[in-house]
Amino acid sequence: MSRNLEFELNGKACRRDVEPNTLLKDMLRLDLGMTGTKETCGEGICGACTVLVNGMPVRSCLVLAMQVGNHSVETIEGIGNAQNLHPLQQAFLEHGAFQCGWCTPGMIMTAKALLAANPDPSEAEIRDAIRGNLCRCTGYVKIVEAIQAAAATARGSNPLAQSQ
Amino acid sequence: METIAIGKNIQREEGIGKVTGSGKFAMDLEMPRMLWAKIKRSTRPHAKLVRVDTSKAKALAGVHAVIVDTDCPQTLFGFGCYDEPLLARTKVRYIGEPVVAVAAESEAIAEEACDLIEIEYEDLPAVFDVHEAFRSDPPTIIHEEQAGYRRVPIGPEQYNPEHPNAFGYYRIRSGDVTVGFEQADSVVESTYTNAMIAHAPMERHNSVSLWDGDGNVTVWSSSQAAYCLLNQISEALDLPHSKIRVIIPKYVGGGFGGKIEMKSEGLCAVLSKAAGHRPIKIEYTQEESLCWAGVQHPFEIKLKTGVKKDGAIVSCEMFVLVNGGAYAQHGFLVTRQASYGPLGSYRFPNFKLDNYVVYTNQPPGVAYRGFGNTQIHWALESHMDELAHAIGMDPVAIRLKNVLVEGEINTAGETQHSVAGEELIREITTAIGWGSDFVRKDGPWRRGRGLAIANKDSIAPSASTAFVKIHNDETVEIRHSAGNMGQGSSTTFIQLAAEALQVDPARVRTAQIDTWVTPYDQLSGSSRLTFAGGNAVLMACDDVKLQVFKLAAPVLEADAGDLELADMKVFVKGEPERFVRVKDLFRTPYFTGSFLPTGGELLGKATFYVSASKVDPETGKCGDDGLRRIFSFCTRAAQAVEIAVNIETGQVRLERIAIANDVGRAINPMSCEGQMHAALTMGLGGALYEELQLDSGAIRNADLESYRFPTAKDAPPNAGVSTHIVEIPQPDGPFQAKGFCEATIAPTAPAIGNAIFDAIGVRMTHMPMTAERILAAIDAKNDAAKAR
Repeated sequence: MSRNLEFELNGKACRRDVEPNTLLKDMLRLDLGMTGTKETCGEGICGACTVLVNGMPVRSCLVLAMQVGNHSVETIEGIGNAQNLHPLQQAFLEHGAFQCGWCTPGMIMTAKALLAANPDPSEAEIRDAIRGNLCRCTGYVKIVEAIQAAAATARGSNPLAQSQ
Repeated sequence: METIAIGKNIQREEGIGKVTGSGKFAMDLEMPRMLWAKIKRSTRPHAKLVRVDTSKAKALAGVHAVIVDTDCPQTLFGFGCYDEPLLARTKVRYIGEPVVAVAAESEAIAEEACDLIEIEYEDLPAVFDVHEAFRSDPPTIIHEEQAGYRRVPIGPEQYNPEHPNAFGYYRIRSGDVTVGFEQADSVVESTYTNAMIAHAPMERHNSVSLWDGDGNVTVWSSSQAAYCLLNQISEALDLPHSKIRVIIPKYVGGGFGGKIEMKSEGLCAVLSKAAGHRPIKIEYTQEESLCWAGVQHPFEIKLKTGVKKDGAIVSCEMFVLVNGGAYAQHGFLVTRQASYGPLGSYRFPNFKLDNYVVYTNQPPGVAYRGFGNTQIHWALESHMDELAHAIGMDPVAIRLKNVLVEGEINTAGETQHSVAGEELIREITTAIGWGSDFVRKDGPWRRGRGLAIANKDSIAPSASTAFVKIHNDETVEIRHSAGNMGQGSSTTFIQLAAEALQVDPARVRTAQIDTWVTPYDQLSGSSRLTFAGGNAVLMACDDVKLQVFKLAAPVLEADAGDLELADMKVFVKGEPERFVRVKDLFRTPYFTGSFLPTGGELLGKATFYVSASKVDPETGKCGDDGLRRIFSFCTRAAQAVEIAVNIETGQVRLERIAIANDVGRAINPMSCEGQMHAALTMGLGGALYEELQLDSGAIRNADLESYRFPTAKDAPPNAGVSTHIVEIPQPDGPFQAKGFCEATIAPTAPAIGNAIFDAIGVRMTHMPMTAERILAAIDAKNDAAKAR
């Protein structure tokens, strides 16, 4: 029996009827058609389905849709678009911080939460933050570079941008 | 040379879709009236099917089709050896083999239906060990009908009744190894093995299949090889190519060789027909994707090599057994490609290789980034270090002594071009400071250094076709069918076309792969796209330019041969002010759109084909036919590492690593580096811990928690990785470029193994070199020392 769910999705009030056992990732992907949130392992290991709930990174494959009632959910679709990229999205593009791109949305959402809490993270802190976001294609080198560059941009000092 | 696109870090064509999440992968597709499929798989490694009862599944509400083998075309499909039915026919040959397929309203209902299917098995003896399987009197014969299987004849006879479970064989013969060993000052014999590992692409294998009422089959798939898939569907369903349409979204979440062959696309087409022509979606579970969509082949490689005191190899004999699993799939091609691996690195005055791929009751092996070259170079490069130590020579020096040089005819009779052997070794050894002092002991940690080189030949004959269309808004569209599963081939093509047409790369795009629209490409594999696909794109650009010039010539009152194209202006050579814009070649007489007066559209078409020399099946060699070409090209890689081993825990820590690749010419250096880092990290996982743990044919770690591949914390810190792109021109490559994504994975494991030996004097012979195995090897060494 479906229930009414009210929550904030990417800054807008959202109302859906969902089954009590519907997972957050399924509501996002199947019900709302927001397929930017990916799913690989389905058991909270890979991080591909990471979204932010009240600003905290959450595995949407481990959370019931009902659990986000009256909370705020942010997905990759909410942080920027082709015309107005988020600094992290811009940095991932410029640094070639993806290959297949499947892990990228989850990686960017985790990085966004990291930078909100720590605007100037060390490489070790970046690697620690994204250790739960598996990437099979990049080797992480350029992901780390991109997050460092985005952090520098956000702080208003991008040494890479200046040197180029 | 001043360029507008080549050699530049152009952002990926599909980049915006990837960073914003707007790009649609196959897994993101949904269709009206779509049903979900699930596969009921065998729980036995080798058994006769006595009874398959699907009645309860069929009766379940929401189930629309349940099919078994007899509901499918009675064909066999494969990849050169045609041995596999869509669903198990009379018997099962591995745990995980598809037996029944179900289509239902939802994934959950399909899964429930699978649980209601009853299968009664009669167990047969099963064989997992490759030696047991290879015997002339094996405990069981896995394919009794093998002698009658249809095969593509390449190389020596593949079926040998003396070894009834072997399904593929390759051999190379050059000189006389016995005579060679007599000339040697030192002879070393060793055996190397590797565990089965998984590709683990982040996008699990998935597809939607539709067999429509007109008899056409359309498939949307996460495949990396549209035309391979098309061909296999055609064989499996006994349908002509013209009735099959394969669509691959522009976004594919990784492949690594594991998405070349058909998975369940054909099977789901049969379900579609059975369910009243409704589209059928299947998403492999993580377990299916890791274990039953193809794995990397375990090899056992025996080597015996003789060297002179000065380090020159005089003789080498290799015997290789490949555990192929229950169906041939890519087994033979992996075996053949791996057989030539040694010959792309070094010269061997006398050489003998026998390489068998053998059926066992394990999940089938497929292509895996390098087609067996990871395994071969793991063995050969560890062995080279043993040879160096046997004669007291520096591991760098022995490699420099034997490595092939530009223009050399190798042991297989093939002329080597774009050879970066010495250059790569010098790059990495300089970067790592080879020969310099370093702190060897640090508490329980012992440091050591090692290096390895590797190579990978790219398949020939090889063919790619490309269409290049110039639209009336002067943008360019490339139509090709080369799967971009993340490596960035589409952007490479865009850069090549932009350069050839002298147009801003931002005005060039690629079309989505659709085999009813986009032309033939052999496969996205064998590192071949930049070379073969790239050449096709350049040729198609030439073709479209000719069409433009032909239309512009009367307008400019000039000879077509005197015209040039730049920035979408056609002008007379040497007279830049005498021009016509390409868009002005189109006419718009009323309000019904624009058209060309002749030619239909500005559409260049071309096929790039690489022919190969005839190879003697007795020797694996080609003769002096004026071509001397067995492969399209050879790509080479080298790595040097400094590691620390903890002698109390067996743990290995990567301190520094230098990686180098020859790429002919870097079309997009940022993309090249990305692929190099990617392969390094994948190689690291395989070297140190990745392993599918098998227990009587069952895989015990079929999830991403227990099958762990490198995380951001496992990969070395950025400061520890030094990346070197080496550019030795490939004479017939597009702008002298070639592909390289495979060779770059192979040196990692032997470089680490050699560094472990340098650190603690222990020779690791099995991949992955887990902490447990390193500790056991240390113990064995200590025990042996005590016994003396």
